[in-house]
Amino acid sequence: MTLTLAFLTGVVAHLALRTAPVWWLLGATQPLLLVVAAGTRRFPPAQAGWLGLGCGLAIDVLCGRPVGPGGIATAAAGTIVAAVVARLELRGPLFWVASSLLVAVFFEAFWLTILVTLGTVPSHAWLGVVATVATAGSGGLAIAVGERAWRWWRSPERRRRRALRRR
Amino acid sequence: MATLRLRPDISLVVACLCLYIVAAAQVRRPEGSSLAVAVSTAARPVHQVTQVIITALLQLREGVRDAGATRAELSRAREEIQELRRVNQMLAVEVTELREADRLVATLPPTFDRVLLARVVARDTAGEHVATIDRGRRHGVMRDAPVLASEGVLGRIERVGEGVARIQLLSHPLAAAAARVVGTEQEVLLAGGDWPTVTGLPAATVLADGTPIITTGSEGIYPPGLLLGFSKEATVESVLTQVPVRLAVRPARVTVVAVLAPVRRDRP
Repeated sequence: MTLTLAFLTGVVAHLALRTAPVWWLLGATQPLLLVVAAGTRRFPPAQAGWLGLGCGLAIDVLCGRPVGPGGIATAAAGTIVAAVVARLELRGPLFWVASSLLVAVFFEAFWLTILVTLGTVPSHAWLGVVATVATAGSGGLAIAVGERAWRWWRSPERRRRRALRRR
Repeated sequence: MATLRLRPDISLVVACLCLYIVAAAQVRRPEGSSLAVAVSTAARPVHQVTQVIITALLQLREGVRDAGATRAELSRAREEIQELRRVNQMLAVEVTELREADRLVATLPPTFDRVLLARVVARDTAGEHVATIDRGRRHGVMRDAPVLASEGVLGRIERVGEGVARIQLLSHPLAAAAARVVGTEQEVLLAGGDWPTVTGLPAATVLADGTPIITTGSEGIYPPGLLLGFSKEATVESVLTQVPVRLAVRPARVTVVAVLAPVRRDRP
């Protein structure tokens, strides 16, 4: 349920970033990659790959590209990153930053590779790759900060302090 | 009911491969989609191999057809060779006969005005002592006509058919001819049979081996002066002494003969 909401949120964010006139760096953001990064902690590598496959296909459809390369690249990235996360037991903000960065890096690498094997020209160059990775990492960092803030907000410690303050 | 349960990792790989193929079909290039280019590139060796195989099969079929034609031609050639061999043998026989006929004509005295050459088609030199020639009444052969071979007298015409005639050989038991031993003036009688002999020589005549015996013509069948045979070495003790004779002609070897016109009885 949470991932479904996250997926829908990512789709809306993607459309919003592509529709609204924003700074070019923000235009390179792939919010759905953050959904994949989130799944790498919850699922084993194969299921994370399936999640990445769905998100990648959505990216292809939303970007108007040939359907397939993005799905394959995201599936491979999700599988690898899920294995890395399980191996290194990443948790907390480090997980978000590292997983989002790795998902973005592997996504771009596999996507470019697939496009080269298909004999077509990618829609962006190395600067676009760097922008995508940077925005994904920033998004992961923002989620990590938000998660920390949300935990702090709902922590028992804060409740107790608020209760003492009312007395 | 059977259920198909796939491992998620393997099914993910399969799905990615299918997606890759779908993507290749979507990517457009000047020469067509990437899938079409990939398929054509992958199929090119197969196409070339198929072409090579088809070409080889066509050549093989053509080769088999050519081989069949060659075998048929070889069979015809072999039959032709057999036919040519047979013709060659017949020609060789004819050449042999022609040579013998030529030799025979060369040995004939020029005084004979009418000579008919004939081929011996059958012979019985051991039992009946006769031979058959391929000339008969239709060709002018007459009874009692003398028959010569290149070595000398063979016999006389005994029977005449329309197209064939039968020769009574000198070796026939009933054959006889008036003869003369070269070197003597006495006329003798040559009697046929398995062991031909001459009788009537004067007593005390000594004959060397190989003395020629020739015809005198007094019996009215054979012209005079024709070689009959050769005497063996003998000493005549009386007029009744039989001197063995070796006939000049061996009938078994004769293939061509000359049939002379019968001698007229009134000829001196």
